[in-house]
Amino acid sequence: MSMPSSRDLMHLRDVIRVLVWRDQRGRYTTTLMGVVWAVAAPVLFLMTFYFLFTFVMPLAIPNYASHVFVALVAWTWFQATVSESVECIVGNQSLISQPRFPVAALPVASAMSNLLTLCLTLPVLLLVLLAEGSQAGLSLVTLPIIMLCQLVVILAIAFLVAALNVRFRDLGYIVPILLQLFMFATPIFYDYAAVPDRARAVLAVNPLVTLVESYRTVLIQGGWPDWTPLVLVFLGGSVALALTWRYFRAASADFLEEV
Amino acid sequence: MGPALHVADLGKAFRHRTGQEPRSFRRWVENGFGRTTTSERFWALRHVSFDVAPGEMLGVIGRNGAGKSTLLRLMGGVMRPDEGRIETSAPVNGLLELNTGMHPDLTGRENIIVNGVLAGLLRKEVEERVDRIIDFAELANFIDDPVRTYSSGMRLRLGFAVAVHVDPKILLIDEVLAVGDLAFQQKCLARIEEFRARGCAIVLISHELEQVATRCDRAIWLAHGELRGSGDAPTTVEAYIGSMRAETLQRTPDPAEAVSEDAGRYGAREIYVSAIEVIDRHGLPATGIGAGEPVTFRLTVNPQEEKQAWHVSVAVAREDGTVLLDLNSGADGIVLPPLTRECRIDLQVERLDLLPGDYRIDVGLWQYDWDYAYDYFPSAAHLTVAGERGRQGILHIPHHWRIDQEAAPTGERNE
Repeated sequence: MSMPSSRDLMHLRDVIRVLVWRDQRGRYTTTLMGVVWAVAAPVLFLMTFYFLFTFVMPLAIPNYASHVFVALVAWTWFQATVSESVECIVGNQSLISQPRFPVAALPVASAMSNLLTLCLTLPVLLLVLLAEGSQAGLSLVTLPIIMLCQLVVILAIAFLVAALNVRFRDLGYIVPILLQLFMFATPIFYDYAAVPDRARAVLAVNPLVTLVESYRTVLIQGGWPDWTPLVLVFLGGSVALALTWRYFRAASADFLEEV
Repeated sequence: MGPALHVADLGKAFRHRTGQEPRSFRRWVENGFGRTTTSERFWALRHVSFDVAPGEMLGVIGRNGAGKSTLLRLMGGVMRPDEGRIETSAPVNGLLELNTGMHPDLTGRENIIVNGVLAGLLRKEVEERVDRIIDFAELANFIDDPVRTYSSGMRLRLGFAVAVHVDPKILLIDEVLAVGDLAFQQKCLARIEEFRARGCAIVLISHELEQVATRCDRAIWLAHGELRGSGDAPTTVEAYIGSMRAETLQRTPDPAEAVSEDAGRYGAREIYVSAIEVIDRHGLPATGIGAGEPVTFRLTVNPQEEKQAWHVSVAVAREDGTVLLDLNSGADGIVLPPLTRECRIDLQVERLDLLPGDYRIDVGLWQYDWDYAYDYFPSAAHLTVAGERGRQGILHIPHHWRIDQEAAPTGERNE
């Protein structure tokens, strides 16, 4: 495989940009509606959890709305990208048969488009945080670092499921189930600190635990994230990404045969 | 100057889908995570070599399944060869599927950007060309409307306009030249000629043999994945047509008998016409009808072996062979059911406006891609249109004469 030229890289960037733009424009006809739709799903979730766990069976977690919403927004980015990536190769046959089309742009574009959707929910997140008296301060500067770690994790999984689904067509049924499992294995509506030690040993394998906890520390308590697990997530994620990327590249030569 | 595209001993093998291959995760797990290596491979393309010089146009002909699409994908770099190699002097562009990235909710202008980038241009480069593209597509008045409001012709024009503004050095074209109206087709062909004049190497894959013969400098002919012939375009096309005809005749079971039985009938009759009737306006079998009367051609078709997809054609011709009316299921968009047992087909013609005379009915049963005739049966039936004969022309169209003259005083005309 020859090294990509700088033009190839510029082209890759442009391809990702137009794919994201097309995706966003396809979803929302106006920016305002975009905000409404992007926010609707997590807000509904938030209201459900809030009602359940403050009134029906109170968990007594302080700033519960912030607690849930921070995690939901991060979770939504992960969940939406992974489920879109499953279909992104199989569902774009005409694109992948186009000469010079960089196939790797498809999962990346999905991650970026959902990141943009995440940004649309930020105003609501801000409102929730302010309403519950967030302590956020200087440590906000670490936010991009945590997001970068999450992006690495998301891409590692996105490349894997995108390439795997070409070979195993029933991944479209399996991945949603796994995602649901992951959702409960992520402290979204409950408190990680309240989890028994032995269960925590299992949950710690889930990189989203560290990410969600880091977001909360920064956005709600205004503290600095716990660096050790975060660095581990970054390193682990990078190794995983390197592996799944190689798998994706190797598999992509045969995509058209299998599709 | 070396070739723009150099293909050397190219080969590509596919695995047969035998059903052994675990296509689902569930089955893979159930099979014990094993890789079933029993799957056989077959060569979709093998030992294919050719060069295309800058400014040269090469036609690729052959039946469906001969390996044309595989060759195209290998040249486009979207598939990896198992043997041999392809060397290109410049990036390869494709004019393959138009409108690949179009989104119906985006405007024409926005779709130009999307499609242009997906076709290999940088965003900046597309933006520089937007005006020329709009101009070429002749869509200036609609360019800011969402593409979902466009007719299919307009979409094709837009897709084509983007595709031909990529300024390729090596261009692959697959069957897309038949888009749009005739004037637009001419424009696209002119544009392609322009590329060629500028030194672009072009590979054209087409079923339109006439187009290959007239437009291409050279042609290669693929059969069963191998190079069956190559050379200047008209000669190669002629050889291909000749072999197609020969093959159909060869598959006819016993030509001598077939000829004595039904002159001119050929085909191996995997499925065959067992009966044909001409039904008149009373719904009765007839040998003749009146001019302008309705008529139904009733065919009975039987299979010797099952055929999933097939076509039927019915033509009305003069005894001298001039075809006056040629109807077929493909052109009318009729999808015939898989033929597993006897099937009756009624083709109703509302009115047959032919001059009085004797006509013959030719019927044919064809492979789904028209490459091969299962049963071609000329003069399967005869039809007489009753009336006074000896007129010139072909048609008997309902008509009325009306002659106006300055009205004469009525009193004088009355006797």
